[in-house]
Amino acid sequence: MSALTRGESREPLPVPAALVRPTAAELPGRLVPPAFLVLLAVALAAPGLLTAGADPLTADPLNALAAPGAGHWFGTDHLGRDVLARVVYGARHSISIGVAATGLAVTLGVLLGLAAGLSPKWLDEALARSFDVLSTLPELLLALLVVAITGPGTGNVIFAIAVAQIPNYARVIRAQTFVVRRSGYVEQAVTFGRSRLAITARHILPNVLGPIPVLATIGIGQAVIAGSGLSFLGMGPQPPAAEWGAMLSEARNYLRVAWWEAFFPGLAITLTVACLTVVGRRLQRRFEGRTP
Amino acid sequence: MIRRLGAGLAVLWAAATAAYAALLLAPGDTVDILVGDGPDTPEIRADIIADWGLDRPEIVQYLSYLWRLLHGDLGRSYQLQRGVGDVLATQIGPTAQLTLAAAGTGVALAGIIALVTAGRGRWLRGAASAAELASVSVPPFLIGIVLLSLFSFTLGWFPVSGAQGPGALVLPALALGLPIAGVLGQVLRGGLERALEQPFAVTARARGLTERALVARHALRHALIPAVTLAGWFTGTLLGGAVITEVLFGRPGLGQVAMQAVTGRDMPVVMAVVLLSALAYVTISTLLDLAYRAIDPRIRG
Amino acid sequence: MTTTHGEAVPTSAAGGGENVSTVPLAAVADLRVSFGGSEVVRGISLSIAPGECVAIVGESGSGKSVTARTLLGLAGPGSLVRASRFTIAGRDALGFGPREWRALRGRFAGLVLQDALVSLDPLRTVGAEIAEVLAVHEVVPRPRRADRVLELLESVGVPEPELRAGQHPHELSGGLRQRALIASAIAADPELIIADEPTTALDVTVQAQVLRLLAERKAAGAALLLISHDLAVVASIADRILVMREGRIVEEGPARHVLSTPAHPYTRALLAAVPSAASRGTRLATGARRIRSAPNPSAQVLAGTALGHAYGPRRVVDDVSFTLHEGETLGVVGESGSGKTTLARLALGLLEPGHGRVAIARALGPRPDVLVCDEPVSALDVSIQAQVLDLLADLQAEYGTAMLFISHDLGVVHHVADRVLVMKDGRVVEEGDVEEVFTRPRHPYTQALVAAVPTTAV
Repeated sequence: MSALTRGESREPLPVPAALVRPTAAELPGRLVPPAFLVLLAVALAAPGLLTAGADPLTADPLNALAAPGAGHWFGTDHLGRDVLARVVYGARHSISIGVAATGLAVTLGVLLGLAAGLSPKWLDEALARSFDVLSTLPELLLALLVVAITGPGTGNVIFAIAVAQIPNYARVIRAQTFVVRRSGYVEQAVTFGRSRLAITARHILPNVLGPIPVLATIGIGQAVIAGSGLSFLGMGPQPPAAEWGAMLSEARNYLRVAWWEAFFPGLAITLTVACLTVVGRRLQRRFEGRTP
Repeated sequence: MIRRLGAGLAVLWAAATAAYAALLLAPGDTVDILVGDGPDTPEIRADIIADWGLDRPEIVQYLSYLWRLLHGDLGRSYQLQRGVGDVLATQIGPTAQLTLAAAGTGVALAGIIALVTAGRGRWLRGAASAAELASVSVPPFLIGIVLLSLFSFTLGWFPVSGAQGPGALVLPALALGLPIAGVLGQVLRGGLERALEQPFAVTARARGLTERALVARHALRHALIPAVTLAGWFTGTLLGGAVITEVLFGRPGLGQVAMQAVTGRDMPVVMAVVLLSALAYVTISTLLDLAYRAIDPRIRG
Repeated sequence: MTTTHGEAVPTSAAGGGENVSTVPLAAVADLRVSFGGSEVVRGISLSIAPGECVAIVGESGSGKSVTARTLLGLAGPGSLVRASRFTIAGRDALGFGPREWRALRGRFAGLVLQDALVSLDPLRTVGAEIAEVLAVHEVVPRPRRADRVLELLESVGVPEPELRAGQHPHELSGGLRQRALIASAIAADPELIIADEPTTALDVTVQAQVLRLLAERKAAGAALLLISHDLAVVASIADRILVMREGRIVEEGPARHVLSTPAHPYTRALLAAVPSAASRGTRLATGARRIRSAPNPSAQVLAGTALGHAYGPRRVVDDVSFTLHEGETLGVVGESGSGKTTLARLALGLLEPGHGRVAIARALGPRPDVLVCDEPVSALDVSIQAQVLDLLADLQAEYGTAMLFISHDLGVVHHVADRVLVMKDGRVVEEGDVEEVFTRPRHPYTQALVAAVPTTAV
């Protein structure tokens, strides 16, 4: 019935710096992180392909703390288990904790953030405050509270990390909802007389989700770190399960004699998180470049 | 300001309530949970019921719990047979030492990183970016392990564990401070570079200011604004990291207490640690909020 | 060399004597500035004599701002500056190092940018910003600086300078903070003031005040390099006008010549594209006559009755009524904070009115009957603005669409509207036929608005 056009009463922004095309020297840096993530996917789906048949749990005390070599590329640990196999199979524990915790946190965060952004002011205010309270507790201490009650274990660690990360997503979604609600196209839809539910589902939800893939990619990395930290403290998957944090915890008693027992799981965590972070940030730049 | 204090108190109240709710909602009998792995005698059970008022209506239990907290009574550890307040009081010193040293180290390093690399050539910026990526990708306990094997095991410069003397503080403070330096340094640098592109920077240069004076008098203050908004992350990293660092370096402190309490399922101590952490958060974020107001006059009115 | 120009011969302040007027303050020949291989200034020559006002006019991307900043050695990071001649105050600036440039900045030439809200450091007080210039060039000993800051604020017409010096830019009105920005630019008494879009973000009455202030500085002997996208803004003050397009000067000459008898087609197009009373009923882009159907006064499509809206205690729209007929354009003019945009949102039903009501004629069909335009062209270059306004006029002619057209720009409203509402502080102070209101304004506020509009008429 009526439509709105609106100009911003500002000067146009200065021309942005030209996008830098990768040079030949930078190309490896661009390719390595995605390639590593593919390798991780293989480790998750078919670990046997990468371990040459070695088993992560088979102990061989006679061959304990053997240095990396032909038989064991990453050496063996203090019980004589193959470190390569433990690192590869460990991806299952470490990464599933990160992915599951992030998935749970994103789901709950989106729902709560959307609810806050669309609610009347008092309810929004209450929800926003509860996000604040939740984020007052470092995830590690929140996890301690959860584990103290429920006992250690993978599921409890996932739950603890997810709860701690909800505010990150909920806050972003809430802010996005505010922006989208006031944006031209939602106003157009309102003036065209669309129903509230239709506007939420068709216009608001898809548009507030924009930053989520990026945040979640980086979030998985941070959840992997948090999970390995909890496992390091003995709250995650219980021995003899191969989890990277737990492996490091055991390995620190043998640092003087067998650097490899700590080195490879540490490298695995670091590379995983670094690659997720790099890929996430690259996605972020692409998103920001595309939306005006 | 009164509003700010009110919000802080509300957060503390909510944290206390959440801890209490967690205790009540946990599967199993509340008395069993409070006994945890400690000695289980009829006398202790009777004490617990009396202390927590478990024979009274739940609303009365809750209110008397809040009332005790208001008076600084954190309850009693039935495993250690001591007041929780006592347990924490003896351990708070080393933790405060560690976190303050780490915060100082982190902030100082971040400032140096930002000032040295802002607006500089590709190599320096690349190195700083790599360091920042490392600081968010390397788990804090791994930083500690690397520092230990390098400086304690290999070079023998610092003790492997304990809290005796300032030497014993160096590696833990570094392990806890490095991740902070990496992230904060990146944020500060980004803030500096953005500030240096603002129109007011052009105006200031057009007055004849040197770049150094421009950074010192104008840009640095702008760069602090995004840094101050990291309050929550900063506190979480410090407190959460303190637990891991204390365990790794065998330092006494609240982190060790918390770990033992969790392992021994000593709920009163765990709840008190949670509350203490919320208190630290509220204190730090209130202080940083005050700093924010001092830095940015636009949000005062 | 200098051009002859009527009234702007420098007198006392610049030192006097023929000698001075023959040595330009700044002179460049074949100036080229490029950023990473793309040249944004492509061989321009320009000279500014003491006491003279030179204006560079062009649309965004024309290279006018870069040219101005290059004269201060501030072309920006990654820039490459070349010129066959580049002298500042008689010295060869091509060999200047950072130290030489710094000595000139602020002292020899002061810079005034657009929008003091971001061009002054928002975290520092206005007084501190002005004092900085005094400190850098040590023009006033420290104990005297505070007094000098107050004198400067006073000299640019800031009332209550003691109070204002201690305030931050956001605490000042747009006009006052732009004056403060000018005070900081002239603090070290430079011979040249470079003003880059100094009035662009300002309301029309404030714009007139700032232009008057710059004219005063010129009368006091300072030379002025004025950069603007708006020919009308520079018309009243410039001695010479340079028209820039895509890094080149397409036309230059005495202001009167350029404005009254433009030689280059681009200058003519720029002048023709400025919407105004004279351009009513023509296509801006081509100047051709436009046939339009008269509004249909019997078919009312949108009406607001006694509308009001308040944010807290502040009534942003207060007892406003309007009607809009088929094929009609109702202009709404007013300065920032007058309640225009709130009115638009009330008209669209995006806001619930505190009181009053909005009646919309029911219409069946895919096309809107009413188009509400809220500052649709305010951020656009004049040529793009012309295209948008032509397009809106075409829509109206073809479909009989009614338009509620909100703008701070009186020229635009005069060009498009049939009737006009003049708003101030949420109320309508005057309304009527656009021709009537703008040529014979009755309300003092409307009179002030109309008087403040810069024109290209000479």
